Amino acid sequence: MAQALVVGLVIGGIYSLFALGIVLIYTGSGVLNFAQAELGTFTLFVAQILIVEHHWPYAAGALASIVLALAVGVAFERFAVWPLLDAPRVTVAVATLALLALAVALEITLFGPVGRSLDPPITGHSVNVIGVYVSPNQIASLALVALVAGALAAFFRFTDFGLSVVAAAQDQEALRFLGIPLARASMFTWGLAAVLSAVAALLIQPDIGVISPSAYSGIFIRALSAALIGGLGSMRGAFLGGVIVGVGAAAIRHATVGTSVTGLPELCIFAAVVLTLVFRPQGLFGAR
Amino acid sequence: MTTTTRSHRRSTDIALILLACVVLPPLTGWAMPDLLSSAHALTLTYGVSLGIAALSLNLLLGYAGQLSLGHAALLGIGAFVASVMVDRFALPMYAGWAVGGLAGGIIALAIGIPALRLRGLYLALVTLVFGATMQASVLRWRFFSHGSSGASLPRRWWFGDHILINEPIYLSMCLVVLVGVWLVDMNVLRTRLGRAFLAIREDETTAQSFGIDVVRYKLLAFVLSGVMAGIAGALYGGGIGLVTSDEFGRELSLRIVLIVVIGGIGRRWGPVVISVLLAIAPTLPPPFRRYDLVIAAAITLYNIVKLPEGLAGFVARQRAAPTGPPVDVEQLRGINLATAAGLTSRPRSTDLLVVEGMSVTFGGLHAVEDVSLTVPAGQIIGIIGPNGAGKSTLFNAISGFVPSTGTVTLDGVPVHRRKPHERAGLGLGRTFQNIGLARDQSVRQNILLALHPFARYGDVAALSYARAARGVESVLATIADEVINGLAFGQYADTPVRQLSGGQQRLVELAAVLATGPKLLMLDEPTAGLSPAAAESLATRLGQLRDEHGQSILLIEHNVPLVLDLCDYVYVLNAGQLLAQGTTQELAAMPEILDAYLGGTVLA
Repeated sequence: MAQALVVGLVIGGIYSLFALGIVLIYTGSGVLNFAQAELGTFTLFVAQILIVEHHWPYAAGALASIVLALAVGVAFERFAVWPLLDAPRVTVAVATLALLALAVALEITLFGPVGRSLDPPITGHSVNVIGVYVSPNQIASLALVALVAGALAAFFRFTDFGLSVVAAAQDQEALRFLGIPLARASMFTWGLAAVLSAVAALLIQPDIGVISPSAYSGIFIRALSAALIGGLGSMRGAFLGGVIVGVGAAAIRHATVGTSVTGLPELCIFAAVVLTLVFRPQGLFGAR
Repeated sequence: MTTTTRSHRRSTDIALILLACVVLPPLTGWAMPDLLSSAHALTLTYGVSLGIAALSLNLLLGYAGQLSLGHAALLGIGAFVASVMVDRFALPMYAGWAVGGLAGGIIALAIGIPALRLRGLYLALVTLVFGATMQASVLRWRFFSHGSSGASLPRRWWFGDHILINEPIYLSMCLVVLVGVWLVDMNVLRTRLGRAFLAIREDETTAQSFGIDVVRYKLLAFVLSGVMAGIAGALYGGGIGLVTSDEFGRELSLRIVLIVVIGGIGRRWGPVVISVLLAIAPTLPPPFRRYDLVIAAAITLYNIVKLPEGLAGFVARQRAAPTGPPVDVEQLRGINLATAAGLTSRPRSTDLLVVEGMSVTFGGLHAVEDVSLTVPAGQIIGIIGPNGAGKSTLFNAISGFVPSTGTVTLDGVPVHRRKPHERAGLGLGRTFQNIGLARDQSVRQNILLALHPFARYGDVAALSYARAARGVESVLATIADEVINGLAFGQYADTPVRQLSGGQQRLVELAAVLATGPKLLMLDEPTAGLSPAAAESLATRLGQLRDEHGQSILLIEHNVPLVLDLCDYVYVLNAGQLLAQGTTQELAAMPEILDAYLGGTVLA
């Protein structure tokens, strides 16, 4: 059980990164980005091709995929989000759906439906930490997630630009008065969310293993569930929501091994999302 | 006479289409097997069932403005339930379609109840998670899919084992179902259902002020959509003969959304045509086969950014010419009550509206504080006060759009716990400062929308456009015609309200509310946007309505001379509190109040 919980914690931390991206864009632009996880999946394919087929070092391939994600995120913001500033938010949400469909379609046509493999960057034996085996990758992943979360928290709390991005969610007029161009804040949020997506996809890859379009389709659902449970308007909520979903799913899977009912973790997460929306629409950690 | 000929011709048309659907595919398959081979028929069957799925999402998204991202799961449920019916219970395939559709509707109801109470994108989120959950769990259960191998869904013509039909004939039957769904869809749009959906899509507050129960209609749209999706899934599964959970995942849900967006949100032909094209695409030479989804996604993205209404919407918008005459004094004399139609129910109480101790707070701010007022039947009561005094907030609280404390009694019935649409249905008609009309709809549609509480017929009667629905609709259409003629508005009857001038919009709003014969008419600055002459004419007309028909009116107005001239009694509101009240003579004797709070306009 403890082993399952640690694995759940590691994966949950990565869900948190995806969920943070969702919340970031939701607070910044009032939009749900349905392509938040798929962007990372897409760039993960690119990283795999660079590293495995073109023999790039892992770090170079990973960095290239992050830069690509940044470019796509910023380009999408410039092309689709910014021109639709005054459009109903549902229109922009459908635009992100189109981006999602485009990414999925490109993955299938360009990279093929066959799974690809990528060796994790750090190899080595798992370490026994008080009775639980943890792989070096998992330790690195946990450390990186904690680092990113801490850096983001500090950024949004202590820097003027970070504060103003959060302020933009409340009042776009106020942001204009603060002298920070709305355009820059908007571009920044989408770029940052894209980078988070690419990093999280690289981190979660060793746990999922094979890289194929369908293998990663469930991640967005987990991340979105995390954001909804934690609260769409709260970055802290997104983070804790990710951990709750990761640990919860692992615990349920562990507890129900051998039952004939398929997909119990998914059913429980769905139930948790619906219950949250009914009884606490702002999420567990969101302010009303 | 003309309507009967038209409806007669329409039913002949439908009979001809049905005949063509039934006869053409098998005939083609028999006469020219190369043209319609089994494989081609199968492809077209896929296109037709995708078309029904697209109509299903279109009803939800295009009409009611709610987005579902788990439609594939509803199709999957329909297909698996159909398989249980046909394969396990050896029933004919129609039973599979029917029960599959029913299952889709029931599941939609179960998801919709928690998700649709919230505004915004929550249905999209919940259906998205729901779709993924279904695919990962329920649809993989042994009960449905016998493990991963999938469930068989034979095209069983009749009870028994070996009476299966071939692909071209199956295609015919799918086409017949498509025509049926299409007709139901048409019926939705020509009854109160479609009007309510479209009003909700534009603005839920406006819809409520028309007496529309927003949550109920959103649920109804999703349930109808679920039934159509379930049927589409059952048809699709029967085409292939085998149902597997892998097919009903994210890609299919996305594909359906893309089809509706490319084909034109709120249209019928576009989505169906795109569905068939997307079904055919994989059978075409490489560039289309390989990149069909890429092209579709790219077009969608381009569409949203450049032509947000979809291709079909774009074509229609190009055709529409902008128009907008100013309000004519003569038009105002034509505003009338719906007394002739017998819709009005006259008040029983002498004090029609009694508000006691009403307070509204936003955060810590007291927008309205302990306000009590009375509207006696057959009188015009004015509310005046400077900007930000809380006049419109008071209106919103009385009509139920903002939560408040205190009591509201309408014609002896306590209504302060009722929802806005219920208050509207009880005879509380109101206009809005920023005009409460569905602006993408025509003048005629808006008047019919206002008459929503009188469109009393069952949902099933509406869907089948049965005699009950037709009868009521023709009465309502007559009333709408009278209202339009009264306004001398004939040439703009079918013009979207958006294209009219501001004054004309206000006039349409007023006429629409009056057409319902409200017990109490609440007007929020009715003269805004009117010329002084038109404003005077409107005041005269309102006075006539009171004197001749006993209409009770509660009026917010900045034009103080007009108020003093017209009203029987006036309340002065300042900073959320009642500052003064009295008959117009009494108020005229308090120039210091009018002067201080209304900038001396009384002398103007």
